[in-house]
Amino acid sequence: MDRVGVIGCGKMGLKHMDCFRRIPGVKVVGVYDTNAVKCKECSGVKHYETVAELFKDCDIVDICTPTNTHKEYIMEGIKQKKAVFVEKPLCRTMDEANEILKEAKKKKAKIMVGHILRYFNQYANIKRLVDAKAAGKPCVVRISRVNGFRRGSNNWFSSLEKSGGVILDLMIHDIDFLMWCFGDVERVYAMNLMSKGVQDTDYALAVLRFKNGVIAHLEASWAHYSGFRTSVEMACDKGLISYDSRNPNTLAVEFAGGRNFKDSPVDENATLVELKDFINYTRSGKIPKLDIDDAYGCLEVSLAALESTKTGKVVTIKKGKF
Amino acid sequence: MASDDKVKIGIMSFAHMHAHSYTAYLMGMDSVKVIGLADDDKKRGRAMSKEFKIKAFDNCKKLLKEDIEAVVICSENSKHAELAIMAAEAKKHILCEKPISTNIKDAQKMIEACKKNGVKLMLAFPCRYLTSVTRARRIIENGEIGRILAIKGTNHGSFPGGWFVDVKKSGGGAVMDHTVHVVDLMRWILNKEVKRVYAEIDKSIHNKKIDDCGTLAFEFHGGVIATLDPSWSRPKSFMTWGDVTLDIIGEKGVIQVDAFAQAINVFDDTKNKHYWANWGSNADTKMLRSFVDMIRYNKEPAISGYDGLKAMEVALGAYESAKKKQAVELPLK
Ligand SMILES: NC(=O)c1ccc[n+]([C@@H]2O[C@H](COP(=O)([O-])OP(=O)(O)OC[C@H]3O[C@@H](n4cnc5c(N)ncnc54)[C@H](O)[C@@H]3O)[C@@H](O)[C@H]2O)c1
Repeated sequence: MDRVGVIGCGKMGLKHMDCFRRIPGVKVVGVYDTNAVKCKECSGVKHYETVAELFKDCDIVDICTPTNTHKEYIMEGIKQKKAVFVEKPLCRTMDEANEILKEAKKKKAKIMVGHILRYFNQYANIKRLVDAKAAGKPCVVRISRVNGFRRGSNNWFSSLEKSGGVILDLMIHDIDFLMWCFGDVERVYAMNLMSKGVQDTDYALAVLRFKNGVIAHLEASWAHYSGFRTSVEMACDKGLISYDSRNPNTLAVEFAGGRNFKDSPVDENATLVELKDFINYTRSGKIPKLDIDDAYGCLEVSLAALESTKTGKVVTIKKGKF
Repeated sequence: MASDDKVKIGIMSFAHMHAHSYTAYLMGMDSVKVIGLADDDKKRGRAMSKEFKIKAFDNCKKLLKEDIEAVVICSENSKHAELAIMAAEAKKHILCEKPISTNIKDAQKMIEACKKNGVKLMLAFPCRYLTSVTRARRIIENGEIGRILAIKGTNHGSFPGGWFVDVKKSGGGAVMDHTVHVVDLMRWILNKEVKRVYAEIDKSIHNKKIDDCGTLAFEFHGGVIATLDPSWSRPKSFMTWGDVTLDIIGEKGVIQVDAFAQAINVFDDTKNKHYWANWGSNADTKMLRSFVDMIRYNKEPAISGYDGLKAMEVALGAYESAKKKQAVELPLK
C-alpha cells in the first residue's frame, strides 16, 4: 500500500485526495494545513497537527500549498526520501529551483510537478497532430487560458511574491504544453497588469520565439467574468489546427429557471490520469510524461516572462543554469 | 440630384482590389458622379473602364485636369505619395487606401502637400465603420467596462500574392498590410499613441521573399498593454479570408469583437469547401459616405493623414524591433 500525505487542503488538495483514493493500492493517510479549519473539510482522513508527524506516516508527499511554500516541503521530502508530487509551478524563484534540482539529482529523488495539460485528451491530441505534421509545420501559434479572479486562501494569488501572478498560475500551463510540442524557447517578451501595480486581478500577454522558429502568442487572464475557457490555434505552412473549449461541446444542459451548463466529459479526468502516471513512476521508475527537467525549463521561461514584464525588455533564455 | 451638385470623383489606379468595391459603391450614391479613372496598367484600366462604363484616362495628370473635386487612390503602397502629392497640387481632396505610404517621410510630405493646397486627406480605414466596433467603442465611452487595461487584437488574412508580396511596391508583407487597421482601431478607442513596440516576424508560412507572419506586442502611453497578430495565416481551406478581432479588457468588464463572424455556413461539394457567407452590414459604404459628406459639408476628415502616419509607424517600428530583437520606443527617430 502506498501511503500518501497531502499538504495543503485548498482547491487542489481536495481534488488530489479525491483522485488518489480512486487509485488501487493507494491510501491517503492524512492531511496537513496551516489553517486547521481547512483540514476539517477533508473527511475520512487523519488531520495532522504538524507536518513532521505527517511525514512520519507516509511514503509519498503531495504538495498543494501556495507556490512560495513549495520549496521547503520539497526539500524536506527529498531529505526524508519520500516520493514528491508538487502542484505546478515547481517553486517560486530560480534560486529555489536550482537548490531543488541540485538536491534532487544528488539524492535521485522521485519528484513530479503537476503540469496537467499533458494529461488532457484535447492537448495530448493536438500534440499528436503536431508530431504527425497534420497541417504541416507550425509557424504562428496562439494559445489562451482565461478565468475570473480567485482569492484562494488569504488572497495569496494577489501577491506577486507568493503566486507570481497569472503568468505562474495559468500561463505556465501553456508554456509547458508549447515546450512539449516545440522544445526549447529562444527568447520571451511579456506584459502584465500585476507588475504595473493593478490589484486583485491580473492579465498577461506574452510572445515566445522557439529555437525551432515557432512564434507563439500567449494570453492568460484572471480578468474574465464568464468562466474558465482555453483555446489553441496553430497556423502552419500547410493548414491550421484550432481548438476552443467553448465549442463544440458534447453535452449541454438547461434547466427550468435558467441555470445551464455545457461540458465535454471524458472517461477519466486529467488529474486522475496524471496522478496515476505519478504513482506508476514511484512504483516502477518509469519516467512520467514530464520529468523534473521539463518542469525546471518551463519555470525558467515563465520567470523570464515575469522578468520581461518588469523591465519592458526581451529576455533570452539561458538554459540549464543548475 | 442635379448633375452639377454631385461630388465628382476620379479613381487613381485599380492596383488595390478595393478600388473595385469603392467605385461600385460610389457609383451607387445619388450624390456622387465618378468621372473616370487612370491606371498605369493600361490593360487593367481598360477593363475597369468597360466594367464601370467610365472613362479611362491615359495618365493621372489628364484625369486631374478634369472637372473633379476628389480622388480615390488605390495604387500600390509605394506610389501613394507621388499620386497624393500630384492630386493635392491639382487641388483635389483625397481618399487614400491604407497604409498611407511605405515610410514616414512620404507620409509627412503627403500631409504637408494637402495642407499647403487646402485639400483634405482621408485614410481608408473602413474598420472604424464596422458595427461591432462602433458599438464597442460606445460602450467604452459610456464607461460601462471602466478603465481599459489591455487589448488583444488580430487581423488575420490569406496570402494575397501580386504586388502585395513585392516589398518594393508594398513596403512590407503581412506586418505592413495588417498592422495598420487594428492599431488604428486601438488608437481610436484609447485616444492614446503607442509608446513601445516589440515584434517577432517571419516568412515561414509561405516561404516567399516577404514577411507573412508574426506577432506584435505594444504598450500605449498611459499603460494599456496590447498585442496584434497580423499574419497571412488563413489557409486555402479556411472558411473565410481572415478576421478582425479585439478582446478589450476593462476594469469592470471584457468586450470581445469578432467583426466578421456574422457568417452563414455553406458546404459546397462542387468546390469541396466549407465557407462562410457574411451577412453583416457593409462598412465600406459608410466610410465612403463619410468621405463624400466631408466634401459636401466641408467637414474635417473622420480619419486623417496623421492617423494613417501613426498607424504605419507602429508597423515600421515592428520591423525595426524584429531586426534588432528588442523592443523599440516610438516615435521612431
Ligand atoms: N494544476 C492546476 O490546474 C492547478 C490549479 C490551481 C492551483 N494549482 C496549484 O496548486 C497549488 C495550490 O493552489 P490552490 O488553488 O489549491 O490554493 P488554495 O488557496 O485553494 O489552497 C492552498 C491551501 O494551502 C494552505 N496553506 C497555505 N500555506 C500553507 C503552508 N505553509 N503549509 C501548509 N498549508 C498551507 C491554505 O490554508 C489552503 O488550504 C498552487 O501551487 C497552485 O499553483 C494548480
